[in-house]
Amino acid sequence: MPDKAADHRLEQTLGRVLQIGVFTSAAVVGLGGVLLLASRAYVTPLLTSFTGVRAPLRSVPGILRGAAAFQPEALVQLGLVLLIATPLLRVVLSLFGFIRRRDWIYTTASLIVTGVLVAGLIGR
Amino acid sequence: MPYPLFCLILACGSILAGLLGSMTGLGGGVIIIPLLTLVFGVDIRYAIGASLVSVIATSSGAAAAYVREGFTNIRVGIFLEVATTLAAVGGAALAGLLSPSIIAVVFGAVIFFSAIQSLQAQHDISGADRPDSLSVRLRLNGEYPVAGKMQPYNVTGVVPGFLLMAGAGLISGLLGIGSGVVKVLAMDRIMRIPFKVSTTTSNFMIGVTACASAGIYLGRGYIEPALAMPVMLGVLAGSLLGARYLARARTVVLRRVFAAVVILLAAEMIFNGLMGRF
Repeated sequence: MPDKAADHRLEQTLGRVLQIGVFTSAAVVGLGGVLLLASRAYVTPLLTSFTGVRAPLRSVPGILRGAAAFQPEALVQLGLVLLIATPLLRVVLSLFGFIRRRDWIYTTASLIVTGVLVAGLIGR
Repeated sequence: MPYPLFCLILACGSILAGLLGSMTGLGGGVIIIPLLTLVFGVDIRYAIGASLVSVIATSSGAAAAYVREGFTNIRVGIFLEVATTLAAVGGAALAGLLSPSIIAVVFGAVIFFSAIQSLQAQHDISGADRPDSLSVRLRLNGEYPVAGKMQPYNVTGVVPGFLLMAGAGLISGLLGIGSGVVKVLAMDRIMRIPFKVSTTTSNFMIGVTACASAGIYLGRGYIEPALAMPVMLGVLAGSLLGARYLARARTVVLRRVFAAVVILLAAEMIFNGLMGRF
């Protein structure tokens, strides 16, 4: 069945994308982590009561600005944002895969999932 | 505590959690959140943020290996992700409204149930006798390799499976765990999808589900880089090790020991939650 073969090829591409995404983000988190270890002496008391991480580290533009300035925390956060974006990329790629095969049911399903993920990333 | 020491202990704990979590199918979050809150006194909201990113790392890191073997059902995955992502956004919204102590009690109840469920014998049903009409229309029925040959299987119970998946998404968004046990339950027991296809497709979906709520948690400041860094790297390393070892190991004893640990942690989370200690 050509349908199943196409499914399998799409799955393999998606698996590769996930792997690249997760290792790229782990490398960025690792780099930020090394810098963080070099710059911080003590940290734990901060985490026992919840204040929320400081504002620039909560949004993508703020994280990008910090990472460009090589701030350790912003670099770690950039790696985590790349990690969060990886499943989104997977869904977008499967959306294109279904569009190319004119599979409208699954194009719709992928579109809904993409919309929910983007809304979660952008909205509060 | 000095930060490097804190990182070292957390990284070791996270490697162990990722290793055991992937070998038993319970995931790393069921250990990470109690470790952070009960042992280190970390606020449960930071713990949930750190756990959530490690869930995405685990799911994405392991997916490539599974996909190569041809077990995942991409249609089932995308179809059910509609339920899990919508519910995960709802769960993340709910998390902002509930007090940390209530979240801790719910967390304890969920991991208790998951641990009990993981002890049940796995019987491979290998598909329903006949598909239901909805699974034919949605072309959910698939095939998977058994002893080198492609074996077709039918999918049934599409509507109840979809609804239970929404429950899994809600739990994932509320508690920052993958809730893989509930996902496998919905696919394996209700939709009658073969066990291997259920577990791998569930793993594939966990990252997407966690992604839906992670953006919201990031915006609320739950994701603290100093904490998430050692946890994410540790759980990722542990789960990759676990996935490699899983093919060779018989994990019955391990499964029982791990379930016992999780049940103890569940009891402590519920007790501390009821005492309002979060």
